[in-house]
Amino acid sequence: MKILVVEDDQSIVELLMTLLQGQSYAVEVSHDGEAAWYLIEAFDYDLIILDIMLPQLNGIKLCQNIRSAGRSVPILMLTGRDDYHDRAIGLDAGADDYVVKPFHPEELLARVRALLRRGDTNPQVLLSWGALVLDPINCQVTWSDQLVPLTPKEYGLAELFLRYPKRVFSCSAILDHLWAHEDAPGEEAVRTHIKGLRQKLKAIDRPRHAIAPHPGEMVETVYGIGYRLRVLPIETSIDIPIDRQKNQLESMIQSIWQKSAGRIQAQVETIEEWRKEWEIDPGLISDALIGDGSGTETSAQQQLALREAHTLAGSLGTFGSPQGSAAARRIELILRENVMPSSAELTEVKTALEILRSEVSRLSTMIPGDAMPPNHRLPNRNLALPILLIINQDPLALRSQLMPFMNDRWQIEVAANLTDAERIVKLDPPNVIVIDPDVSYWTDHSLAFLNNLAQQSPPIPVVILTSHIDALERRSLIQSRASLLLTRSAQGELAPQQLVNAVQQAYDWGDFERVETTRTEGGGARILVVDDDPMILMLAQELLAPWGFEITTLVEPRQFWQVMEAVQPQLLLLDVVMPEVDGIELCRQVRTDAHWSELPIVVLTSAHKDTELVNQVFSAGADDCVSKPIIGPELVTRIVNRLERTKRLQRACTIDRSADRSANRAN
Amino acid sequence: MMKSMTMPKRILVVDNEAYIQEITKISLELVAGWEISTASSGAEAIIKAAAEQPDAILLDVMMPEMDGIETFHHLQAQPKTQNIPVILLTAQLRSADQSHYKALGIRDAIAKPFDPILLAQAIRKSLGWV
Repeated sequence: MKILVVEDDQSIVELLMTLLQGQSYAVEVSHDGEAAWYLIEAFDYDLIILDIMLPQLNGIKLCQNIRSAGRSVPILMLTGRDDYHDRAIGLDAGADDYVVKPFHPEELLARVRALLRRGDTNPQVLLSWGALVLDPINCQVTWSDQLVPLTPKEYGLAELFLRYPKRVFSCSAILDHLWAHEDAPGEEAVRTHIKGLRQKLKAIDRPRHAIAPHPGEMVETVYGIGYRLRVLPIETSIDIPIDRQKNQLESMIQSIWQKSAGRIQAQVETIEEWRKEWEIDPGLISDALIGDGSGTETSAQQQLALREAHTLAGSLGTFGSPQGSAAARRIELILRENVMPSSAELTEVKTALEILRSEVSRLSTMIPGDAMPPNHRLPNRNLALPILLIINQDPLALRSQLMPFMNDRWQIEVAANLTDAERIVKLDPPNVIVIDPDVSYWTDHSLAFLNNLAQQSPPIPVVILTSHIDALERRSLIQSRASLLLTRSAQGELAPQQLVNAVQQAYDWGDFERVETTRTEGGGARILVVDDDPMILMLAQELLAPWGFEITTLVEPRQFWQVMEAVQPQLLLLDVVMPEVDGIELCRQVRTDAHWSELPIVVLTSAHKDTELVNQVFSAGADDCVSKPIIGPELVTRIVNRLERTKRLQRACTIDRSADRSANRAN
Repeated sequence: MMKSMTMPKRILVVDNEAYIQEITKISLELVAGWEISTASSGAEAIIKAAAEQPDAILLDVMMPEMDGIETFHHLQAQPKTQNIPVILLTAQLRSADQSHYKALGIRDAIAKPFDPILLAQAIRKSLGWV
């Protein structure tokens, strides 16, 4: 594990080096804040110990810079300033811990270990692999309580693999973590130490009948790429069920359906009875209202119908009918919200009941034990349909226009004004909102509503019909969080298909925002992957995450610059063929941007033999070109190599700069 | 890091609707290999939880007589059941509810309808069993 000590007092530096090196940590030292910043930009550290009073750039400012650059490396502030106010400033600047000088060595080392654990995926005090245990307090490795004699570097290797159990380390990454840059040997030295570690672990005597892998197999070679900790076999590994299990489950669920169909039909009929009675004689039901006279009374029959609708909403999706769940949900909301439903709402209930009956009959035609036809198979996720809220003066009319284009893939809620819309959002947040500004004066209320949507977790994307909006209002809208703006045609109408496409697009964007950046252990490089094919994005994530990279995926290239600024990537992986703006164009834009012109870019092409396309890619400024279909090891190797080459260049610059600074100081 | 040989997890599933109980039970038994017992009301859940000491309770919210939240409060009030983690399974889940439930001490809430294949995984995640 490599620690950077930023301290201008030589006596403290010497004390820290003795303590930390005694624990087998690699230690680098910087005597001023500015030089430290260059080192942090160029090298990966596992921990930074930082003084506050530093020449050039003080510790507080340096700490803020590190955090603003998106670096999550643990920081321990070590300073003589013992005021509670100073401690608060230090911690608020982004430090993880604060120790006051003079410090006690035992306490300082314990805090260092605690901070190193915090950055891990493995927070255990003792690290283990089967019966092999590494104790970071005593710097010892044991196998079934028997001491394994390791050199400091072999111990460091064992600790590195155990702290980052899922990560693959190239020789260069191992050098980064275990050697100070001025002492770093060649990659051959890493191989020698790995060999030494393996030999010592292989020499361990263990019972012949033991089932667990031998400790000698702990470090696995990933050929052509690096090393990693071998995954221990787990006795029950059924996280991802095999197809047979899935088929068996589907068949058993069908059997439960067959057994319960009578009960489910009865639940539908209970709702139907309530509807009929209300339709025939609302007065009869309102006479039987239960409650405290506050105006929120409902009849016993309505309560029963509400309960049945709720149960159906929560179960039909599991049986394979998201449409059934959505219809029951609609009924539930109407019953929950209305003591006296309007005739339009009763019509809605009637339509939803028709859907329910048809879904119940569809599910009942399946025979238990038979494989489900493909369109009936259990979905893997999203059992509830996404909800679209339409806010419009005549929302029911707009809803009927859109329905034929929705292919039963959406549940549609409606509101005729912002107050109703706010109530629906509070009750059951939709996935996308279509809003027509005609519902209110396009004023503070509308903007407050939009801002409220942006505060939701996750934020709700909005499609705005912009027929009567002037330039000023448009600007305010853009400054709010509206995801998408649409303009009506000259006739004031928008084709339903166009609107449905916009809704789907807004939903996909929302989906992207819900996908968090994959943050992996080890604080690896940030990579932004841009491709309009979600499968490629998933594949890239799966391939690259084990390397400790922080992967952000972007399916919508029009959000490119917004995401670039937010993510601040260290490498860009770009698809060539994308709608609206292609990879070559994005590559050109990046190269002409003063801030981003040096960013390494790898481009994915689907036709490697198309020499003209490859020429265009390189002419646009790409550093490398990888053809699809993606071959995992090839992509990983090219990205790792590209990043390491960039790092080497940055380091060369850093070392040159440090040498210049030392020379200047000497003069 | 090392996983030892352990007994299968035991979960108490509480739902007033028999077919939901059944579908939840077979999903968890088949996919995760857990041992599942069931209760049809809050009152039955309180008795069974104290007697069986399950590793977790999966609790429906909208039940007649005693709803899921009230049942949870009763479980919390008993020393024998107060440390058993509770996950709500609810057809009416809003983000505001999630934080309210967590403030009460409920471990997590999972939305219905659930995917039978992924339910066990969601529970593992909620309880830190991954």
